[in-house]
Amino acid sequence: MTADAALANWDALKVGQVLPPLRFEISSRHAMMHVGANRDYMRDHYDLDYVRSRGHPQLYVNTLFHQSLVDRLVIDWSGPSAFLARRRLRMLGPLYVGDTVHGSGEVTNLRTECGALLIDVKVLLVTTRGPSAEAEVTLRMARVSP
Amino acid sequence: MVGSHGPLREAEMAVSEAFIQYYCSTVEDANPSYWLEEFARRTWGGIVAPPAMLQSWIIPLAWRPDGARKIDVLAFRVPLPGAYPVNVSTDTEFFEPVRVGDLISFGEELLAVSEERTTGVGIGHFVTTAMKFYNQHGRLLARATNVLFRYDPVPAR
Repeated sequence: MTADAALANWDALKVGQVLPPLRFEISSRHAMMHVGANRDYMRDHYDLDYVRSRGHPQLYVNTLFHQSLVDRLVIDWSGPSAFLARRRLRMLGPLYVGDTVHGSGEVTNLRTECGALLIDVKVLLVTTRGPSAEAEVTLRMARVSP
Repeated sequence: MVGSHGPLREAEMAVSEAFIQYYCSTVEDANPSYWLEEFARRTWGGIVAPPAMLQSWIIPLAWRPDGARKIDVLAFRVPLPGAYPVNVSTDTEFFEPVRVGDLISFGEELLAVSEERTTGVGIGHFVTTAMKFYNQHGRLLARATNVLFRYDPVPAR
């Protein structure tokens, strides 16, 4: 990973800039591990018979998974010195085991505050069924001398 | 009930590197802030937790020898019929990173309850809560506003 790609290209940052896309195939192993890692033992996340009885085709992952994919897309691009200052996320649909998620992002605003650069990025996660989440993320990055 | 507060609750365990890295492996997050001690120390003062883990630190264990603590969510203490939750939106502001060793405390406030609504999943109410997360020094680490839809499915005709 190139550390802090956005910082290295500070002067080239511009509104409308498109971030590298993210692709994630959600396997049953990912879903099982994710439940264990965040301890959200709602039946919808581990009991296949139960979710099917409720009309879902498969287990679905919880909101933290959507959040993580959004955060990854943005920080994978900016580099790891960026501080995620705000994330506004709206859920638009479930992410099921077997889904391939495509994430896209675009810089929507750039401003400075107390010497730090604030970067707003708009992110969309979609599957073959359509959008599953949209988010606005604000990153804060300190300007450092090269 | 709007304006009422839930009790301030403390996490059962401190933030740990093992849990952070296990979580990151589930979403394949390679950020060195979560994995590399040297980079993390230079950048944040030590290994930090990914922002998406914020709410997970205060979820109680499903079993423990002295009896599991109940998951007590304010949105479910509002006397409403809906038995099922679905998250609608979350707006989270982060003020400082969550670090290894932090013991997170968490408080909730009920901000709003909508009129009864019918959506694609059923009939229910939108419940808006504010959550604040503190570390063991009483410093505010993050604040979130969450909207969830508490509903019952519409029976098929």
